[in-house]
Amino acid sequence: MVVSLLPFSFSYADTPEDVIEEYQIKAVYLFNFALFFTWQDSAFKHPRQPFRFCVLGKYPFGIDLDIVVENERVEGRFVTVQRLGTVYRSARCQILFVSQSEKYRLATIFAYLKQHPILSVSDIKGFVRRGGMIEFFNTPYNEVRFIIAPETVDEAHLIASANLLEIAEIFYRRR
Amino acid sequence: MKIFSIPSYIPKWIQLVGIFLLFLGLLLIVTQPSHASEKTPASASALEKKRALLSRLKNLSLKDLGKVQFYNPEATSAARKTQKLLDTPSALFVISQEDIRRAGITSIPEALRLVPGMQVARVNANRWAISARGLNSLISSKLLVMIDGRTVYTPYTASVFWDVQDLLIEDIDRIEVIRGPGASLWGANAVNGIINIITKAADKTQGNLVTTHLGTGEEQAIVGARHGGQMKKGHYRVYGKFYQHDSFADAQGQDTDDNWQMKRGGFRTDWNVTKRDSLSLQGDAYDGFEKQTNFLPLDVPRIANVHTYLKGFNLLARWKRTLTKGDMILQTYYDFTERDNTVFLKEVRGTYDLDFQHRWQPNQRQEFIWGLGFRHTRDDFENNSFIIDVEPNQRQDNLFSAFVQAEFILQPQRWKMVLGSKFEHNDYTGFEYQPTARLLWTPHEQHSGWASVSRAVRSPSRYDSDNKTNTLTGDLRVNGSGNPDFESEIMTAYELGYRFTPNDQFLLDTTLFYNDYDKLRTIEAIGFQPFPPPPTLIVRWDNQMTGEVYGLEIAAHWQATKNWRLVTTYSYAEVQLHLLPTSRFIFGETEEGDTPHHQATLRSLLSLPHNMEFDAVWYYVDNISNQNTPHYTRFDVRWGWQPQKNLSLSLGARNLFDNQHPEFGVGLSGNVEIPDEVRRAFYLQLNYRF
Repeated sequence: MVVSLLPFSFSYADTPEDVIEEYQIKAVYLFNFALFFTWQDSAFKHPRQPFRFCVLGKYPFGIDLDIVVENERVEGRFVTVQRLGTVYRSARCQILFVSQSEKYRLATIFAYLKQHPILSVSDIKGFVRRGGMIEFFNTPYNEVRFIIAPETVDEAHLIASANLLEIAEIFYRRR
Repeated sequence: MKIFSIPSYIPKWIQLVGIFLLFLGLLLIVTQPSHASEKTPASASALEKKRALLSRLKNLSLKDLGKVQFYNPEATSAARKTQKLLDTPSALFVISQEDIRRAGITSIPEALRLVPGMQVARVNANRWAISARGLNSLISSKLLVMIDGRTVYTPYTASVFWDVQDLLIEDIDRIEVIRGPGASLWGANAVNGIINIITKAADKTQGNLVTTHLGTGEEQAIVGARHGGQMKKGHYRVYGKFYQHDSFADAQGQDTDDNWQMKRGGFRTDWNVTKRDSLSLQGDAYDGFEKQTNFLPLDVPRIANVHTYLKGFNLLARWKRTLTKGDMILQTYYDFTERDNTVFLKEVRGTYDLDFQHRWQPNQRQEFIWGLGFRHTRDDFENNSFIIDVEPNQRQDNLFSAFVQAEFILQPQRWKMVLGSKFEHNDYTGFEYQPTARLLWTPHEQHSGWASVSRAVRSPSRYDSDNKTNTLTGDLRVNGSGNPDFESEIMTAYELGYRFTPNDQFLLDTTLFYNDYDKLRTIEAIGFQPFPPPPTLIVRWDNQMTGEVYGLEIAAHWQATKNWRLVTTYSYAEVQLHLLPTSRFIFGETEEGDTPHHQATLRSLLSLPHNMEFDAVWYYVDNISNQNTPHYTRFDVRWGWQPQKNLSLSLGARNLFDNQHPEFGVGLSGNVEIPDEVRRAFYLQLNYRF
């Protein structure tokens, strides 16, 4: 932008409410993914098991993800948010957000996730290329978009809605 | 002040301050209950806000969610450095596109009236005297004005030719005005203030727009058209505009011949070349003419109507790259202007500028910005009479500059410090340094205070150095010449600011300033020749004056209800000038009286049902004693209606309660312009998008 040449530029928000943080947008995306994907019944141990959003590594959402899912139901189930220190405890999660802090442990994480119907999401660069399902990226205008790897999603027996694939950027693995 | 019917024996300024305090008191009373009733802890209300915001985000479609922009001043991917007003350690006021539209403003200089601490006066239909924090004149220097990063003050007089600074007004995103020095970042001339006019990015001006403005009293017709479209990896827009302004009136109400006309066109293209590189290319061209009534101090003095032909163009390219810990920007532009005043002087000027800037943020607590700049300007003057000339007629000047600024968070959420300086080398005075130190204190989330000390210089203009004037007034001939040894005017500024936001609906922003000037411009009598008749006084430009300007600026914003917003500003300024004992300045210290002591505005923006708006602005400007200009109030109203999504209409009046008034006089500063008076004006505006 123009002003950028000017070392300082001031953006003037009339009300502080207008300030939207990056991870608030990502939290809302995560919740939307729960609605746009379908899990097989076998993904849940029993009919009353809650739908679990898990966050692996350093927790970036503050209180926002908890607020997004409060009083919500996904596939008729109650929703909980769990913070995990290790991927080995993620077996019962439906959506796993992998935090930036895990960027050097991706190989271990993917090795474990392969055996489970878990939707893996992250904003680590190269996440889908290395075996993840959904990768967030930021546009130069500070918007959050995502890339999806449909083949990886299929392998985990998850079903993505067509609407979702329409707006996402698609990543196909090289054969 | 008839509208308030206050006894006339009370001095006007006391009335004004009284009204202002009354209003402020009212604001505080009204805002108090809502604040007091919120007995819940601050964190709980913050939580509620968060809930509301997140629920709004949840209601968006995924596609729209991808268009939500997040705010993060620390983000290395941030498109630019953004700051919240509360975190800004300088006297900032922002005029948004909404403010411009709803105040019925159709030109850039008129928009500046909304800013506290700015003096805006029309001299005639196409000339303005504009300054920040005093020392106003028809060619007031010390103000840096930029349009999208392109400097538009002229090196000829260090002032701004406001008549040629225009855009399609709907394409302006915002105007950021900083009163006080910004020289540590922006360099010479950023002494009393910086005005940053920022246009919308091309992707925000997509589709077609046709605007028409028809009126009486001021602009007779403004017709504009813009087309915005997409291209591979980017967006563009092109626009064209025709502007026709009517004559003002003389004191008797007769038409003076100072109407003017401007044709203008331009474009802007923004590409996202890669994920981290963006490229912009933009330019404008204009062609027009204007008329003024001038007093010609010739052997046979006479009043004449003078025509000026104006044309120019500019082309600017900017490359921005986002780095992992900051960003860098490389910008270059070429600007060409030609002003052919058929009686006095023709000026042709080309300016080439190259700027580089790097912002580096190694961690959350420190940020560094540094940059380098080069500017080359080349001019050619041709005198059309002997009244004024510039010698030598042609000159080329180079300006080299470098700046560095560091921002430290001393204690998170509490103390922030900014240190920086600009270093310049110009061809008139050589090396100049312009440092600043600023401190921001946020003791509470509703209160913030700041303080600053800065040094800024106004480097000599071509006029200060090289002008030759030859006038005859009565029986006295005055031969003047510029001074190649003219030095930079120097200011040391002390500022103190305080901001208060008790809730989201109210903001109070106050600033106290004290500017200490040294080496101000004087015109010294250096000789007298009685023979041959007529007797001749020889004068030369010099730097033999010091001075202080101090004052107070207040702005209050109040969102009274969801549909009603009020903005009020007040400013006070006092100018004290002192000649050095050696000075024989022919005008003495009279320029003290060129600045009104009190100024105020009150703006009401009301949204009505059925997509209608009713807006009003009240302006007050105190008398300007040295210009023999009495105080005046001005009242503007506007009614707006948007009957369809793509059609908007407004009907307005300026100076509703006053058929005409002067805003700036001839003064003693040797102006040859004969001032005209501003009339009552009515207008009808129609904007159609498709």
